[in-house]
Amino acid sequence: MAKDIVIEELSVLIPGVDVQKIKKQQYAFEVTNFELIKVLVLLKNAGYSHLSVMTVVDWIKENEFELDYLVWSYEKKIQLIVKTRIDRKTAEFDTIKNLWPTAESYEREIFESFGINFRGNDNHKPFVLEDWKGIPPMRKDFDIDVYSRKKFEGRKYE
Amino acid sequence: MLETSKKTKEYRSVMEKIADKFRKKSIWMLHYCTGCGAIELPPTMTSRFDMERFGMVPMVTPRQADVLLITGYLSIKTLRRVITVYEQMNSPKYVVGFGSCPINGGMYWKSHSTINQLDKYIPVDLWIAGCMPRPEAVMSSFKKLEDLIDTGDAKGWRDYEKRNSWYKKNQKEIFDNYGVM
Amino acid sequence: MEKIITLLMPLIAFIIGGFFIGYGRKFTARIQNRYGPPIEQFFYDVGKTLSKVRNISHGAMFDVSVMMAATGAMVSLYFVPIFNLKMFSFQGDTLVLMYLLVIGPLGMALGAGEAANPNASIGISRALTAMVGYEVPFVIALIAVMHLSKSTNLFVITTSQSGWLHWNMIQLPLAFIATMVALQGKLNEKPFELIIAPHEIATGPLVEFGGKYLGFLQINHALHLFLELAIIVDLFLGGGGFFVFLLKMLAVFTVVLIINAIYPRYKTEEAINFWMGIPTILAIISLVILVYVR
Repeated sequence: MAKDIVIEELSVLIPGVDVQKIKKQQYAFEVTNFELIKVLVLLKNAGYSHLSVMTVVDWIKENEFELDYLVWSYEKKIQLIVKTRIDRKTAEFDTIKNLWPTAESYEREIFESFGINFRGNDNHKPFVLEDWKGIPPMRKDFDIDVYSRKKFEGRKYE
Repeated sequence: MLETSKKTKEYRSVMEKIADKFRKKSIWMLHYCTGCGAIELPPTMTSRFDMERFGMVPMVTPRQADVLLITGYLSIKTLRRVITVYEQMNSPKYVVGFGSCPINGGMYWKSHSTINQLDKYIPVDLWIAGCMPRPEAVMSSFKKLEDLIDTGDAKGWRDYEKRNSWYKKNQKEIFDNYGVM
Repeated sequence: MEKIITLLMPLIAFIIGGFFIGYGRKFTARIQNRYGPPIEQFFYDVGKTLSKVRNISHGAMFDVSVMMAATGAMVSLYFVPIFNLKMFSFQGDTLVLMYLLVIGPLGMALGAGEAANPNASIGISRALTAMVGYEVPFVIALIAVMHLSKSTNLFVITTSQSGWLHWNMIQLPLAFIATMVALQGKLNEKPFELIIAPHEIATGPLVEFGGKYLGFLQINHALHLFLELAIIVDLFLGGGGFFVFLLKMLAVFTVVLIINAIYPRYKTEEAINFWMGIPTILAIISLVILVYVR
């Protein structure tokens, strides 16, 4: 099997990392909490200069949140997904808005929909929801069916 | 609930009948495209399915418009603004609900922030089924709105004034901070 | 007969202006390869707005301003001779007309100021600034015409253009071109559609007018259109009988519509820079040739 150029370059850059290929131009790997900022700085200097999106996956059975950072390189045309896991009860992490200024808006939206607090980013103004009282609605323990049926009743047909 | 399919035999004076004949030939719609159905309005307005030959022209300010088209779903955030816009329009005014989202929630019926029945908050004169209705369906529904105006059945604005307390009670139920924008 | 027409002048101007507006919409629609509204669409619009039940007002000044705008147009109509009838024109009435034409936008400015909407304030400041722009070439061309006919009486100017070769359009072609450019601004047609720019500033000063107020402003629009076209035909094309007059007005209006259908919209600074540039120079050249060469 021919060796993948991207996997080779990444193992030189970040020793000891396990990269999986998801599809033709997308690769994913996981790092620990301590290494994440260093890895992002390394990747940004190596040509992955565009932060596409920042999102969260809720692993409720394992009691953890998984943060995903998707970075894109214009020259190589490759997208990398950098993952890390944090604890679900404390739900705190460091901000990366000093690397990419657009991350401030993503972290504000994640604070509103998942409840994760990013240390260093205190922009907690409401983003999409208005006058929301209750747990952050994108978490898996928010029962959307019960809430919706209670608040908005459906139409009754005769 | 407001029934729009029964023809009531109400007495209209001669001036009202003449005024209705004028009103049906020149309906000005408000160019406020709410949900995802707004993508069907530009084809209806431009050269292929020409809407101006019926006298319908898009207007940019609610003070000058007659008909408010709710094209698609409405979240709570938008509904607050839509109610303000509806109250700014001059009577007689009409509301048309496009698509299945104003009827019973459509494909967003389970969402935590979209409403399921538009009828409880503002009065609706005409419903159009579809997700989204094509320009041909939109044009034939404008014809139906003209027929409703001609026979005097498009009475949503009178209902809003008569049962105002019922509408306001429903609105206060879903807004936590009523009156604050 | 002449007295009856003089009395009914605003009604005649309203009807003819209404049909011209309908013709304008149909013509523009055919250029864009679609059918347009019927020719009598303007009267349906006015009938609908005048039959609104609840009209939202912003105070007493708001109500008065609409009347003021319509009055300016109606009074000016009496000084413009049409259909070869001398209405009330007298010596010096061209200058009086210049003053009376300002009352319309002034009335709208008072109403827009009362409405307290920022779109209205921006619209009115643009309208009054544009008026500074288009008056300059228009007045210089007017002076050239007055010098040629040796009179400031509109009726004398009209009747002194007898015969095809004596029309002021043929005698003073550069002044005619300058006036046509200024006319695009007065009638609020592209490329100088500064006053009522629909999607840019939400129809400018008209943003808070709805219902019956809007009906009166539409009547004012029809009267204003008739008035401006009649002035151009009197000054440059030598007015004629009933049908000839209407035909000349239709020809001028068609040229305005064709230019309107092609161009986009200028910004305010660009429009005023343009008006103070080429049209003014053309009008000045025309005046200089008239005074020194002839």
